[in-house]
This record gives sequence, structure tokens and C-alpha cells, in this order.
Amino acid sequence: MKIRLIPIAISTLIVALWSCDDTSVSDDSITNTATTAIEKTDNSEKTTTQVKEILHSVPSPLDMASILKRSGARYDADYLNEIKSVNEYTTAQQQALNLGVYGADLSYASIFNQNQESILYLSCTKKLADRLGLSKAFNDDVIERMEMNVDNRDSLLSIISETYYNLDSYLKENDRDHISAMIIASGWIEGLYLGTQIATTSEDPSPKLLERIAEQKISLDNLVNLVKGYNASGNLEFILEDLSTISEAYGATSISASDNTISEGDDGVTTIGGKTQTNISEDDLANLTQVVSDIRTSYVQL
Amino acid sequence: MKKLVLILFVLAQTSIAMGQCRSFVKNNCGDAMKGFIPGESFNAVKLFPGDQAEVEMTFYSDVDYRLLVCSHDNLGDVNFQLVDKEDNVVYDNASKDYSEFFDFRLEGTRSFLLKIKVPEQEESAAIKPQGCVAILLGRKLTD
Repeated sequence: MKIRLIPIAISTLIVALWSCDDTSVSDDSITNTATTAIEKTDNSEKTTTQVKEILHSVPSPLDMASILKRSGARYDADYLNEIKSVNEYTTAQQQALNLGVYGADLSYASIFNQNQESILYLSCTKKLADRLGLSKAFNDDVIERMEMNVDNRDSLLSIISETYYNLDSYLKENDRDHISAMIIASGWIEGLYLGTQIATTSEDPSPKLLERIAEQKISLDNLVNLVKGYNASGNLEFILEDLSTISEAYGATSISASDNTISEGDDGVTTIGGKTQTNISEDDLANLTQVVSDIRTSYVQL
Repeated sequence: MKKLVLILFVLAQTSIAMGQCRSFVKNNCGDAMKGFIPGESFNAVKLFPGDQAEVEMTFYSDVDYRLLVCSHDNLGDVNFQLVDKEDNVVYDNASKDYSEFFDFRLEGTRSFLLKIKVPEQEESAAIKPQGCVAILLGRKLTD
């Protein structure tokens, strides 16, 4: 058994090291490598068992920013994390958390067509990504592409999404899932921070915005499960505590959904019917706003 | 020594798997998302015939989504279903000839469980194929 495993492990390591740097591996070679690995598993007389993988997905900061805009919120740069702070984040934890924060701010600025500001925030995210050793995931031409597409909002949003997708996949590929979870969680918290700040400083906040803030309670459950899934080392315990505090701050906020109905339109798009009713009280909103602000401050403060 | 080799083996396999899936997604799944702004999260796994995967997902109301389950051809017709909290199947791609994507919108924000199942293959097959299954979510943003 030992004799059989050593050459397999060594050859596997060599392939692993090579594959970290090469994203242009052909589809055929992927399948062949995978097949080889399976053959060896069979040779070592392991019984094949069916696997059930559990993954989690939470809405991105871009979704929250889009919601803010559609709910009639105004753009206010004062809510965003200061650009000049980027040079002060020295620990990996600070850098990961603020990569999420700046990413949400970048989405917010882009959705509201603040294109020059978007490029500045993208530069911040690049700096943090570089310091986290993620340069390979952040193409050098991203900022150039942003500048070339500065008048095309959808192109900017696609570039931002693609950039964060590349970061996320690179982190997961290199067993740094906990960094990925920090970025996702802090980005989600920054999105909620922006939403609650806008709602509580508006004289007459839009009901749609309040509904959206309440609905974040639904994705919070997914986010908690996602963070738990990457917390094997215990590095994410503080985020789980923060998310628990946010969950408690929602207080008596209620969400109820009517039964689903399904209909398919002529355009091939299916509509899943069934309205969601939300109710968040002024007190719960005020409490939530304060709690989220405190947590967000703890992430961005120097 | 044996334990160390085993640990290295497992770590290397994980790294290879993720790297291969990342490359697979990059080379094979992008075209199906044209016209949609892609999501930022990378969700992909390597599965064998008969394996299953589940993803908890939240979708907002009034957003046009494209859900894409992109997989290696050697895995066959990968089945996916969207299931609500009461375990009702809201969508099953088996009813759409195992289409890889599902275009939809919701009237109310909901969480669903995306259930993915790779079909079984003949027991007699000497080599069981393995392949990546990637889950991508795109959306159209409207003001």
C-alpha cells in the first residue's frame, strides 16, 4: 500500500503545482487526468461511494446595490470606505475583509454610474488582492478594460463580476476557502450597511428598500452555512459571531411567503409566482442599523 | 510517513480538482451566460456517476436570472431540480430534455435548494468517468 501510494502522491503533487499556474489546461487533459486518478482509486481497492456535496450561494453585493438603486435610493459617497485607508490594512484578515468591503462599494458606485469612482475602488481591490498574493487572479488589464468601458455600465459590471469570480475560484483552487468566505461575508455586510444607512437617513424610506433589507434575513441563513462550511480552522469564528449578532438584531422582523405558482412566458422565461410579505419595525430597523454599523466599523477601522 | 503521504495525496487531489474545474468553467461555460451579468462566486465540484450535489441559493424578486449547470459531457445528462422549503419541485430540467440552463424570475424573494444528480452509468464500465459540475448564476440588471 505504501509503495503504491508514494509514486501516486508525488506525481499528483507535481500535477497540482503545475496546475496552480496554468489556467489554460485543455478540457481533454482535465478529463484524462481525472480518469487516471479514478483508476488508481480502483486499484487501491477503495469502494466507490456516492458523494453528496453541499454548497452555498449568497446574493452578491452587486445584487444589493442594484436593489438599492431600483428602490429609489440616492448615491452618497460618504457611506463608502475611504480609499486612502487601503494602504493601512496590513494583516491578511484586514485585507480580506476590506477586499469584500471595497468590492461592495465598487458595485454600489458602478450601479449608480459613478464610473471614475468605480475605477478608484477597483484600484483599491487590486492593491489588496496583490497583498493577499492573488495577483495571478487579478488580470493586469482589468483596470485598463474598466477605463475603456467607462461609459458602458453593463460592461463595467461584467468586468467587476468576472474579477471577483476569478478571485473566488483562485482562492478555492489554492485551499484558501476561508479567505473567500471572509470576502463574501464582509461584502454582504457592507451591502446591508449601505442599505440600512440609506434607509435610516431618508426622511421617507422607500417601502421597497425596507422590504429588501428585511429580505436579507433570508440570505443571512445561507451566509451562515457558507461560513460554517469554511471554518474548519476556526479562523471565521468572529464572523459567525457577527452574523449571529445581526440575526438577533433582526428581532421580530417577519417574512412570509405564499405558495409558489409556475408559469412560462412566450419568451421561455418561467415566472415563479408567490409574493413574499415582509415586516420590519422602526425599532428593529434602528437596532439592525446600529449593529451592522458597529460590525462594519470594526472591519474598516485601522 | 504513510499518514503524511496520504494527507499530501488528499490535498493534492483537492487542488487538482479545483484547478481543473476552474479551467473547465473558463473554457466551456461562458458562452451560455452571454447577455447576463455573471455571479461572483465559484461553485464547482468534481462528481462521479451517481453522485449528488446540493446548493442553497437565495433569489431576489424582480430579477431575470439564468441558472446554468455546466458539466463535462462524459457525465451524461445531469439532472437538476429547484426545490422549495416544503420539498416541492419548482423546476426539473428532466422536463426540458435536460437543458443546462433555466431562465426565470420570481414574484417574491425565496431560497431554494438546487439538487444536482449525475446519472448512474453501467456497472460493467472499467473506468468510471469523473467530471466537473459547475453552477453559475447570471442576472440581467434593469434600473
